Amino acid sequence: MTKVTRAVLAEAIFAFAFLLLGLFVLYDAFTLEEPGVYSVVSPKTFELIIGFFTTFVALLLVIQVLQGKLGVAEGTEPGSSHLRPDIRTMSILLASILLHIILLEPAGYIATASLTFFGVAYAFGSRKFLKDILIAFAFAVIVYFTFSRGLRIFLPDGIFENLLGLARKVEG
Amino acid sequence: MGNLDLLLEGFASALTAQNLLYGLLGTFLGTLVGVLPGIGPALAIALLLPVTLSVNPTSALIMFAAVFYGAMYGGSTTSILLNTPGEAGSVITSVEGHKMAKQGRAGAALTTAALGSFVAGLIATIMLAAAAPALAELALKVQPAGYVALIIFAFATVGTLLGSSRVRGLTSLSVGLIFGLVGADQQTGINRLSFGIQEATDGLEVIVVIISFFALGEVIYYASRFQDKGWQVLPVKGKVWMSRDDFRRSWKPWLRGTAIGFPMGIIPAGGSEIPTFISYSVEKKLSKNKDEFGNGAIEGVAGPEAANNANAAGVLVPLLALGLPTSATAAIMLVAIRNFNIQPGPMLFEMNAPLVWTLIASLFIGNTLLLLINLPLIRIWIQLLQIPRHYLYAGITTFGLLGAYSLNNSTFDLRLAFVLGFVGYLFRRFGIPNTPLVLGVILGPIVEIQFRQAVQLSNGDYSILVSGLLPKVIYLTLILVLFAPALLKLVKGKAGQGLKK
Repeated sequence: MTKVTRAVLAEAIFAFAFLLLGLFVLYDAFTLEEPGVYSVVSPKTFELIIGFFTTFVALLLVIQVLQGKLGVAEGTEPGSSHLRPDIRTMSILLASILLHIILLEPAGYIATASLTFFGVAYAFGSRKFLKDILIAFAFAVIVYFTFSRGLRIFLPDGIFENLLGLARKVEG
Repeated sequence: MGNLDLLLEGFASALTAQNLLYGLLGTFLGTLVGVLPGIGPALAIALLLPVTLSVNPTSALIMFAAVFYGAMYGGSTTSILLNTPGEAGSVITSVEGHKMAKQGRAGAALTTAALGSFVAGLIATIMLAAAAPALAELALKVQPAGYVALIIFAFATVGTLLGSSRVRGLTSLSVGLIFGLVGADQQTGINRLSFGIQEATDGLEVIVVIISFFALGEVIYYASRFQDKGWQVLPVKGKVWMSRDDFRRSWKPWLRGTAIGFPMGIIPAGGSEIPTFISYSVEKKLSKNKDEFGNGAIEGVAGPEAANNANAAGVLVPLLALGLPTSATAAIMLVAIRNFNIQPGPMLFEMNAPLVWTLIASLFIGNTLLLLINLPLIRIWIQLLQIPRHYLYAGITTFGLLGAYSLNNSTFDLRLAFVLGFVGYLFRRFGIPNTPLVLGVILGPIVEIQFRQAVQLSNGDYSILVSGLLPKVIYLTLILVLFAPALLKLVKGKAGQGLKK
């Protein structure tokens, strides 16, 4: 496939997914349960309006894309959007975010945030492991203390929080 | 009590040592985050929102006003030195300012931007203090049908005037409206689009949506384009100050920029792009040094930068008086203010007079603090631009996730941020603007309430939506606006030609 047809295909998939979203909103509106209380305007009305509006806009987008009028990402030269996305960098980044979601509550903020910070830096090409680990850890500790202790915003405690918490008790 | 007395009282309650400290902190954090490449004012405020969660309303508002101006100013520094505008309003600044920086006149460009922002901010805040209460008084008479018309007007203009393509703007708007639908209906409790997920019945958290689209989406996009070469920071040589000649050439553009930017912010038609473009073409037309335009003319930085700042303050008028945000930044301010159980709108000046005047006083204070700490500290801010890209993105990602989690302490918000972050990447990739989405999420539920009230008032007669003077005028104007973009393109085209030269 040439670069241009692949770009059209990618964007056409996006446009069709958007069309499906519009149709789904309509489906959800039509299958909405009837409210037990009486209201002049039922919750269905507004959802229907948005569903029809979305479907209409999506059809326009599909037509545009199939005509070859592709979107241009801001800040790029027209045409360079056709470049193949860097799947490797993206995957490591997305994995780092996923880890954050899975580990945050069981492992605590400092451990998880350090890991995410390190993972994202690694994804973006940093290979100075020791330096990165230290910076990631320092970042996480500073954020934890500022938010959890300074601003009294709850962050999950875990491995390092307990260790540091103990250390603070000994000092104080 | 007159408004002036109320304003003075606002100053009195804002000017305590503790509040000034919060103001300083806000200015510092706002500039710090705003100066980082890829972070515009809207995202800066969204990221800093959790910081204000545990602070009392008055201090938090002061901090917010300071963050607001700080982030705006930080953004222009980045545009001048990096040529990567963080938001549409800085595009013009970056064109002419970056050229100046290349010629070694970065210091003058940064100074005229800072002073211009200050002058514009000062004048615009005075006008805000005068216009907002007056508008609120008028707005008390606005019926629900009028509100529906106003919001549809804002939707249409923001959706179609921003970005490169109308269809893409409307795509963004409709996705935002769908996000706004999710959860239990306010009136009947019926769940829409919540897939039986318990957390979703409360609706999607607006701040999570914003962080996902503006922060995570952006970082994922940069990851996808990892092979692109990075940016180059231009050095700031010599003094960060302006010569007498620079002053002579700057002060009129500052004032003209303010005069263009502020009124265009009041109209519920979003975007700081158009006023900055207009300011640019006006300055070009009036300048004696036309040949310098496109090659680093100081008027081309002074005017648009003032217009941008005045516009941002102008946007606060409909926000406070009508509860109607017309820019992404204003939309986030609305969320922030609502967090303190304060509802912007016509009643605000009656119900929460002390607080709203404190906010206006805070805008004056924030603007002044900004000038006082930014000009001397400018070299420190510039150092921030040297942060390696991998740490910058690591920081944005981690901090964004923190913001998403800390709102409700729920991993549901994190999972949501992951999914929406990827959608945000797709938006970025296919050139779909974010601002209409943000307005859709926030204003969608509001327009539904007004729509229902209107139809309930008329006992189910939908024609009430187009009856009355205000709706008629608005819909007529809207039709005009939608068919006048040819005119706007002409203005833009002229500015565009200037850039190519």
